[in-house]
Amino acid sequence: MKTILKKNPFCGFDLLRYEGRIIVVIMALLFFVPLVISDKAIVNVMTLVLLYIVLVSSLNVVNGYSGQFNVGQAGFYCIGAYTAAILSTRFGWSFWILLPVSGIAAALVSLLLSIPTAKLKGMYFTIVTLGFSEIVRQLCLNWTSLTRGPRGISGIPSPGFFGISYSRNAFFYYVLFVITVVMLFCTNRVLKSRIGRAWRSIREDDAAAASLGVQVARYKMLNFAYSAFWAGVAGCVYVFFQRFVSPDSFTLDESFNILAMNVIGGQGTLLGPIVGSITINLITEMFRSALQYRMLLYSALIIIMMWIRPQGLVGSINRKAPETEEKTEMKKGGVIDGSAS
Amino acid sequence: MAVLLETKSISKHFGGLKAVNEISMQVNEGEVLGIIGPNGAGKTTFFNLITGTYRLTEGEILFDGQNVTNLPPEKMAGLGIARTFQNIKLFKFLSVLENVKVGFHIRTQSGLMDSILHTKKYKEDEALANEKGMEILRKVGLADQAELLAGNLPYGWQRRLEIARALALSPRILLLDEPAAGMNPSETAELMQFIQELNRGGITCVVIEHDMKFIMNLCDRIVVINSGQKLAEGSPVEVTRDPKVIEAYLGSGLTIERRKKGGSVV
Repeated sequence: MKTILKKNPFCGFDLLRYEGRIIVVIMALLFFVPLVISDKAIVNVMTLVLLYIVLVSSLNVVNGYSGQFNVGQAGFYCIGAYTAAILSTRFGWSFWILLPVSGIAAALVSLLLSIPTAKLKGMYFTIVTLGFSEIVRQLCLNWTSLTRGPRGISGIPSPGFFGISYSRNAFFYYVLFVITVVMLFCTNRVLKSRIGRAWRSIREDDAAAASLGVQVARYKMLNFAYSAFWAGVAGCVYVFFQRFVSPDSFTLDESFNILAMNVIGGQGTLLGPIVGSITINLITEMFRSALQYRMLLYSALIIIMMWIRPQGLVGSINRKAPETEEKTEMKKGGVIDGSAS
Repeated sequence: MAVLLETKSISKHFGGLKAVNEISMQVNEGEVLGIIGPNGAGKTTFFNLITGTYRLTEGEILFDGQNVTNLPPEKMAGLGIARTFQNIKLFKFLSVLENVKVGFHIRTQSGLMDSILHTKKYKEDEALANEKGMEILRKVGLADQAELLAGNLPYGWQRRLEIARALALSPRILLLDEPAAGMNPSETAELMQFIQELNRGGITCVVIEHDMKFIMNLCDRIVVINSGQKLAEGSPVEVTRDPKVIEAYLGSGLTIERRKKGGSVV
């Protein structure tokens, strides 16, 4: 019995044993992109890839690790973006201060939203996030005195970096690169800690988690706020990168885009969002010439993925307990043969 | 013997269904109490009430003289009430050791910043959870499997892991919901020994079980529940002789009739 278990320790999880090393390699490769490639358009696309790595990873903290299904991540992204846009144009706050401030703003809103959602499960939570994301967008669209409505906010100052001049694209690329590395580093550590264990235990079984003393509602709130924080930070970078923000960037399409990258890349692993963001962004860019058929291709890809590999390219959750053949047999038999030890 | 846990006519109604109806009972410190009853009698609901999973419809629960009525489950866990579940509720995608480490959640305090910066507090917490966690795993004989995913363990071992996880709370009282279900006789015997060991170590145990031999040999006292009500209470011998208990398990009419005809009673 022991040998069978050892032979097959992680049933299909082999790739994840090298997860850390794969991430390091990918990030190292990404580091060299602007140095090797001078084409601005390509660097631009790669900047977006990094932006989406942060966004998708932030969503993954909720969907992949606490087992809730958030479909409104664009809402927090939007809050971060508008916080940065308004504070920088009206009060002249600098980019560097706004990075954490936008994150904290999004996290605070998530805590407010947690008051009704912390006790909700499954579909009900999902519906609330869906509604929330749309409410935020409508607010930006209609609160014209603050957000200038559909015209959006333009004229966002470019961030200075101790007076050093920079090529604009590479600058944002490296800012995002650092943010991505910091985010992955922090998230990795949090997930391995007592807090991460609490999140994952809630994902697996909240009743059991509560019976072991995990304050389920409180840890769901923390999980949600942590996720929102990084989405808010991403929003801030986006605004300074584009130097313009309008509600059009934060439609439900955007939420679903982030969600799709997470699902295709894989939920519940750190690597999944990275792979998802790179694959989807590059594929959609490559097929830019296909114009409107691009989205058709994208949808087809999602359907095919769900069909042949529902856990995503490198996901851990396929929502089915890992089962050895032997265990299945035993369940059928109902009894375990031989003394176990 | 001091009373550790006391329920004062607690009830749980689901709409018109009285799943638990005015059950009053006491669990004495240091004993092994068995709870038996036919399927659907309300045994598991009773457990869910005293662990705070369900809110009471009425009644009162005292733990160590303290009123703990309707405290949430995480508070109950903090008081030292640990449980296992009838349908095993392991964290399947966590490793065996991590499952136990979740049990140290209350006893450790490190927060988000501690985890990110790996402060001294964090390192101490992790060291405690790792060390004590492995100690418990060695005790239940799962130390070699510490790194496996819990969902990959065979069924009998999963049951053991669930008990190990509950032990991480350093409980004063351990509620076991059908711990021997699906086990073969040698495993059941091993389990019985293990529970007796825990009991000698000072943990009061309450066991729901259908395996009569197991219950009769293990328990100091037995409470019989039927249709949400307490039917009988006493030593194993007293309970088995109680005509009400026999009726609840075997029915009344059929046995008598068959005896009259001279047929054998199965």
